[in-house]
Amino acid sequence: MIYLDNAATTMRKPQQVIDAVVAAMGSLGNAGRGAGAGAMGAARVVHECRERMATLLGCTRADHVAFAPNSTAALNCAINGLVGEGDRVVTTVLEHNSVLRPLNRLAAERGVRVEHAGCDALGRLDMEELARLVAPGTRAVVVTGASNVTGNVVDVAAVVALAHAAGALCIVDASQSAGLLAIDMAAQGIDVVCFTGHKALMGPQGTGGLAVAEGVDVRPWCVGGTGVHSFDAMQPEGWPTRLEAGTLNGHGLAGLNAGLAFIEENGGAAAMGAHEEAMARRLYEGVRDVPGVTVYGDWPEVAPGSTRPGIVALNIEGLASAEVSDLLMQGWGIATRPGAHCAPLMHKALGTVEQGVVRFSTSWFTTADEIDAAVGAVRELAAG
Amino acid sequence: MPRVRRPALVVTFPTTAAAMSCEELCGKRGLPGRMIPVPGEISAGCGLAWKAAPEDRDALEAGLAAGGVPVEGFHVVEMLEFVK
Repeated sequence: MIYLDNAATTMRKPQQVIDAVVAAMGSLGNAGRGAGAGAMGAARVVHECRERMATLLGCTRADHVAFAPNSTAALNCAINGLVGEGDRVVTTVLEHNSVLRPLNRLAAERGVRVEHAGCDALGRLDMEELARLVAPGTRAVVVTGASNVTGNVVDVAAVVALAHAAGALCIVDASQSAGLLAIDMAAQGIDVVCFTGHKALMGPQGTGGLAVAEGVDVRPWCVGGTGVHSFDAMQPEGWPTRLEAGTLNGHGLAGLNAGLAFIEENGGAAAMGAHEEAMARRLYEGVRDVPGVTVYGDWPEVAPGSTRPGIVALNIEGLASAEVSDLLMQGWGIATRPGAHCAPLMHKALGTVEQGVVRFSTSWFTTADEIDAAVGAVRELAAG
Repeated sequence: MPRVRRPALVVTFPTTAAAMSCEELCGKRGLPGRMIPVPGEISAGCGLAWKAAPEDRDALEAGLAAGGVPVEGFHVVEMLEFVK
């Protein structure tokens, strides 16, 4: 199989990630539950992973990295922990349902007013509309670092500047950007970054979390056992415990820790992102002029470093995206993701609600030969 | 690779869990078909569907009902297939 669905999850993991999970399954206790050798082994792995994540994201306080099962859980934690009754929130049409649905629920149940900034025909965020919407009195701006449909990157620093000028917080969904694009919370002023471990970070599914800037008071969303302050009636206030009720996925975090080490050993996010982008651009260049093929998104000229995650979204005239994806798998063994990608407003903006889009997405392990095979398959399907 | 468009039976489900129950049940009972991404003309969005030949509908409908697999609908749509 040629696996080009890495924006959903990186299927091929570094061997050291696999080894770390297997070793953890046979040796780790429960982090923060006692001082036995097993519990301490788990606590050390979690601690190391936390420090690596803080370094990757430019979070000045490692104890402000709280782990969660995935980006969705982290976004729910951040959004529900920062937005209250009657608040006003601005987001964008680029967002995944992991942002849209928590906000929709707050709008329906707690009177939160939610505004959506649009995009242009290429799917690029309309920064002028965003600037108009982010008015004083806005509680938070929630924005993706990169669209999971088109791969278009958002100028997060500019969004932060708009948010802060209006006195709002900025929450970034880094599901498609962490481990690929430069994220520096301290330098960019980001208040919260939500990440998932199983995509570009090369970790197992069931890992993720949020990194919170110092001074941003995220109210605990999920409360319960923490291993400390057992006789307190309420959730402890200390970081990161306040946001980590219940047993952590220590086995998974051992894998994520190894994934982060792998990224460090291979040149960091810049190198990982550059390879993903190079492979995606090879695919883009191979299909962009094929008659009947429409490629979505913004493809600026190559710039130094990584400028977008490895996503190529396309359609073939006259064919539904689900049909194309099925044919790619049946005929060439190429795995892609068709449909709506849990991003309904993005598809409405692109005019692809009915056809959906076939998303090809690369990883560190994607090869030029795999991309060339995908180009050949798209060309053959487009030829009719 | 030559392809032909022909009618196909597409069974849709309310959840991925139901779709997987269908695959398991069909495998155990020798019922025909395979999993595909749900066609856009049936449901905008994402998800899994079971594809078989239109003439397999009665057997699948009876088998899935007997197995207690929740089904959203049975559809016949024109789909491209490779000619073997």
